[in-house]
Amino acid sequence: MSTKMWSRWDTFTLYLLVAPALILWVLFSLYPSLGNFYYCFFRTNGVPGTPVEFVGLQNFAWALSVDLEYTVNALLNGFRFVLMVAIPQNILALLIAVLVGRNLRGKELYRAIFFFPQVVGSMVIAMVWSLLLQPNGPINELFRAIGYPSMAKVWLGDVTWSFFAVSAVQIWVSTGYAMVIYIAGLQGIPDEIYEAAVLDGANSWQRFWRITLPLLMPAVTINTLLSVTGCLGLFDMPYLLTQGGPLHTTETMPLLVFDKFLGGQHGYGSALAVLMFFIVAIIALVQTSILRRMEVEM
Amino acid sequence: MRYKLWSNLLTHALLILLAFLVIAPVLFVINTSLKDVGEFYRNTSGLVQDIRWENYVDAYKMARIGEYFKNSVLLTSCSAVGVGLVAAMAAFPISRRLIASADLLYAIFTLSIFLPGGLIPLYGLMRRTGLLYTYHGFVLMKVAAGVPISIFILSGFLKGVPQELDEAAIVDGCGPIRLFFRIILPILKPAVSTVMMLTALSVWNDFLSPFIFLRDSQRTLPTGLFTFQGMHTWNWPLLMAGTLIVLLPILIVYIFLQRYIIEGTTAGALKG
Repeated sequence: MSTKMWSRWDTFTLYLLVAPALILWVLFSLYPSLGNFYYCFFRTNGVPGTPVEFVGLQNFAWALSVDLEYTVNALLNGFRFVLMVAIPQNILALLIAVLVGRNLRGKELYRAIFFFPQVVGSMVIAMVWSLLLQPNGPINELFRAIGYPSMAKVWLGDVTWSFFAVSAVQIWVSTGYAMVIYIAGLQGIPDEIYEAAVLDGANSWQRFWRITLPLLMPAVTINTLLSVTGCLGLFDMPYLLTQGGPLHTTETMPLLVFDKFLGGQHGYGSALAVLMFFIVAIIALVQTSILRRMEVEM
Repeated sequence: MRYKLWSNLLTHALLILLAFLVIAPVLFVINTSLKDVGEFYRNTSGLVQDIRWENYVDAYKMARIGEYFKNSVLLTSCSAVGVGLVAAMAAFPISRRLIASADLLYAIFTLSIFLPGGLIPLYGLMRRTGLLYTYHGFVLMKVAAGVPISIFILSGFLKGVPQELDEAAIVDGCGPIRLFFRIILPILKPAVSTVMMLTALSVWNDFLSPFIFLRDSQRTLPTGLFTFQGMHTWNWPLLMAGTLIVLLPILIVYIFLQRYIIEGTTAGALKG
């Protein structure tokens, strides 16, 4: 390459171009991320000038003994969100993507509408849904109107139902994102395959299971990875709608970490973050390796 | 062909029903925002009887929307420009492999998209360095957060651009800095705008970091809304008017840029 024409100073300026990105990344991304693995061995409230005490594994011991109930509950809630959000959301997103398909009229408009919740911002969404889920709000009115008054609940304050209410809102928020990834995956499947299948007499049901789904596996892998890790680390909706309550029924690991952060237990909070990191990483690795094996070559 | 017509109709019917589930909440909120508080408690779910536009004026004043809006615009635009510039500067030598460790840096930035966030150490760092409760500290933090995915998107774009132009410029005696600003940056413009737009959306919508890293007078619209909600929990029409004012700028931007926003958001996920 002709870069040999450049002087040593020129070559040095190339490093200057990369420097801001690298410095910012080391300070504000790498350090905080690794910092958790350091903070987790200390007792500290994060205020400069106050004592920082090395406590070894005591934070972990605490999380797995005295607070075991809360730690396990938060982890289990993460898995419950995977069941109640990640799975239904992916099925719904796949359904919409297949319906909108490749060349349905109004495709762009449908896509824009379903993606809309993604750009709205959690605070606005939380405000909208706290109104809709009010005890005397429209959702309860609807249940009363269609003759199921017993289904009218205090959605965001009920020990049994608030979890489902938060899940439903989360599905409303994130289905559009998964849908867009499925649509892009669908566009990558060549028309010839479908034409050949039609000539061979395959009906649309067979075409979906034998062609669409297998060739869509890369999109399924990405979507499952994103939605499962997203559900295990859910923060915005449970925090804004129910603050993890009532009685910790919607509390997830990030909420627990945030709670310790606000409460000045910074070492303990970091230990919980580390714990969560390992659990999410293991699940993500296992899941990706299983799904990758299911992908087929086109 | 009759079968095809019916299946088409059924598809549209199902999609319209689902689309209604997305739009209906917003329509309901508009309806509520126009009610008087008294009317809201008498008639919570029905159509508004007596339209009260003043709710918007009241919400604008009481939620100090003007002030928060100014902060939002300032922090969002600075972060977006920062990410665009810093990431483009880095993506150029990395994707053109002009420096020794280009591949290593690319791998580091790409993998760090999946790096878990460390709220507690980050807070400690901001506090110790005096960046806590400052605009520039907040912007630096947001730029750093946006850089990895942006370098990934920009490098992907630049790889598709043939190197003949660079070669010609270098032969003509163009140094790296001039090459970047005169040739690479103009070529990268569409990808840089995607990256800036993604950053702007995430900073604009973020409610948690302004809450943690900024003082009330420095905070942005979503955080302002959070505070406003705490003060007027019973006045739903007023809260919904405030919510809609906060939603409006996003809605306008989305109507015009939805194609770019949707394609940009998924660009990262699909190449990965």
